[in-house]
Amino acid sequence: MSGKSRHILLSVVAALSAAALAAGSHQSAMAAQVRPTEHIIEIKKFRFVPNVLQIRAGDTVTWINRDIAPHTATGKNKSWDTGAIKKDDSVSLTISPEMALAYFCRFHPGMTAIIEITVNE
Amino acid sequence: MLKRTTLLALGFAVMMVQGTANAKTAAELNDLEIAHAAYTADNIDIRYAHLALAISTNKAVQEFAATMIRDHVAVNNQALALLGKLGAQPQDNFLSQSLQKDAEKIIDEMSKLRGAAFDKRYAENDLAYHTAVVGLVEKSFIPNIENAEVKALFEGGLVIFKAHEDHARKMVKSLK
Repeated sequence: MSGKSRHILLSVVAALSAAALAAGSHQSAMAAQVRPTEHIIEIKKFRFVPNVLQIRAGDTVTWINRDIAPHTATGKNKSWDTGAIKKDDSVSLTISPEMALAYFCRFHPGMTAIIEITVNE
Repeated sequence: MLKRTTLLALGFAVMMVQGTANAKTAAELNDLEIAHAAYTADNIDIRYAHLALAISTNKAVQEFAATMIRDHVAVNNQALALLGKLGAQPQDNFLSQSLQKDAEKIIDEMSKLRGAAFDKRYAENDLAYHTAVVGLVEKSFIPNIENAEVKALFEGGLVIFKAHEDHARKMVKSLK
């Protein structure tokens, strides 16, 4: 898994998806109405932009590094990590509520940001 | 001796050269001389960081040093790629030589230190060094660079050097 865009699906998300499939046709119909959205966070001038991002559980977030210096997006409790993202590279993660939603750059700990999960309707 | 800062050393070196018959200030350097000085400055910080990785056992110091190497190598690679694209060669100059001369003394001095004494000296030196480089890049280099792509590279580098300065300041504070 390499190149410009690496997509990392967490096992937690797979488990949630399996549970959703088993939850009956009503819930499946509702889930079908709420399609996952892709969100972009740019890393530029040592900042995550936007610094606060609101998403729904199951949405995908892609971090694109515009800086010369490599960066990471790493959960505050270090339970998840994009790995090093070089200039103009990107990494995508599917976000689940179990993930630590406050995150930082492991290389530059002063860089912090937050993902907020809104309730699915 | 330990209290001598890189900032003072760098300022002194520039003043000394200004006082000679072939006086030249940092603001008078051409783009290729500026590129050489910046490349030299990056490599000096990489050397300091390798020394820290070899001597320090402090996790925060080691992580900071690893970041210095990672980031300054990235900047230098960008600079070399741009110079290659422009078909240009960096030009050695008085400032590069002054930086190198000062760095040799500081590396000799730091090499003799161990434990907390090394960590403190490394952190203080890197803070002073980045403060000096930020001033040089912001006030002398960027306003005088003629090539737009070279200027953009230095503007990107300045953001990194300022972040390093902040990081070093926090490390100095945490080691007190």
